[in-house]
Amino acid sequence: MKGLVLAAVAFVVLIALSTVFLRLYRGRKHFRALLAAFGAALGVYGVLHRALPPDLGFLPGVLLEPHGGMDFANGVLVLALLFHGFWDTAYATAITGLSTNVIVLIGRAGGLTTSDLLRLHHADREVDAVLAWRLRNLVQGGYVASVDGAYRLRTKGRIIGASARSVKILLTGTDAGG
Amino acid sequence: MAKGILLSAALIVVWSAAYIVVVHVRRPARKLTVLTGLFAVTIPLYLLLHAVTPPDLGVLPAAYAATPSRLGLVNGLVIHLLLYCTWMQGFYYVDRSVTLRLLVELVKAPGGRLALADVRAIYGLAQMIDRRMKSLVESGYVEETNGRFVLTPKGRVLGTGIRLLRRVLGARYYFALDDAP
Repeated sequence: MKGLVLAAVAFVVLIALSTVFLRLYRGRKHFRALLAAFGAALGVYGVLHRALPPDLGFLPGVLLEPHGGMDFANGVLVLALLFHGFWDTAYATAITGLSTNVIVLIGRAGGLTTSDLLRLHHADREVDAVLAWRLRNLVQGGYVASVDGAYRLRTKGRIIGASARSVKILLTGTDAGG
Repeated sequence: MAKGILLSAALIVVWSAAYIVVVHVRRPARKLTVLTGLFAVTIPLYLLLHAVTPPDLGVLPAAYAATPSRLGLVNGLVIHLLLYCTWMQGFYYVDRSVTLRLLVELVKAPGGRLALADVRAIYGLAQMIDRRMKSLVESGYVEETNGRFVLTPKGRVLGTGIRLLRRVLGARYYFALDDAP
């Protein structure tokens, strides 16, 4: 139980640090700020687990895990899973999520048509805002090469793409969607 | 603790396998309903298995099997719920990610190469918006009246939550970060 309690404490630290780091971060790769916060929260968890007694001064005997290593590893697992949930909500949903942004846009305007939504996502440009950001990241990350107005898979992109296709078919029965 | 974690992990594997079988055999329109319905079954199963199996599950070393039973039960349940959330988030990465879909389309293309016009034709913004609007209407976040989309009360709650979260984190939507899309 000590690990579980300390994981909860470290998660609060993680949220606070994420807020600070995201506000200080000036680049485009926000996930770096979140990973840094996770690393720091893991450090806080490790130090607290090492420094504090097994009962944390208040836990009853029935809630104590006899194996210290097991208790520590359990807390790390819980903290990692909580971080993943926070990451998904903060990064994949709030910052880059297309569906959630559509909801925000509709809420702000009071109502929108499909044409409005296309315009707001810069459909009038040569490359709309949704594709532009992703294609640029894929090129910069070495997954895809941009050659003469076309995009060609590089080895890293081919491995990820083929794996994603297999998992997509396994989980959804189709390789479309997205 | 190890017993609860192992039981949870085993049930997650069984749940995943059952879902995959259902998806490929029945081809359900609403996968989320199947996923949550099947997962709901795993909770009483976890409680039952925890009650009827020995502390060492017949395989664990004694040092890992000395956890007080109630602590192991609750801890395993917490892990089980967190694994479910993580699995679901992973599912949506695979199912909805625009980036992964782009890579998949490039894998399917001859020579792994697509011109920008091909990308737009296969997976353009209009298709992305169309699929998401259908999904948001089906999920009850948005309703459509004469071609105009408005938020339902559920959609308003989510929209307010997302705006609040962005404000707290001090992070804007990524368009605002892109000066030259």
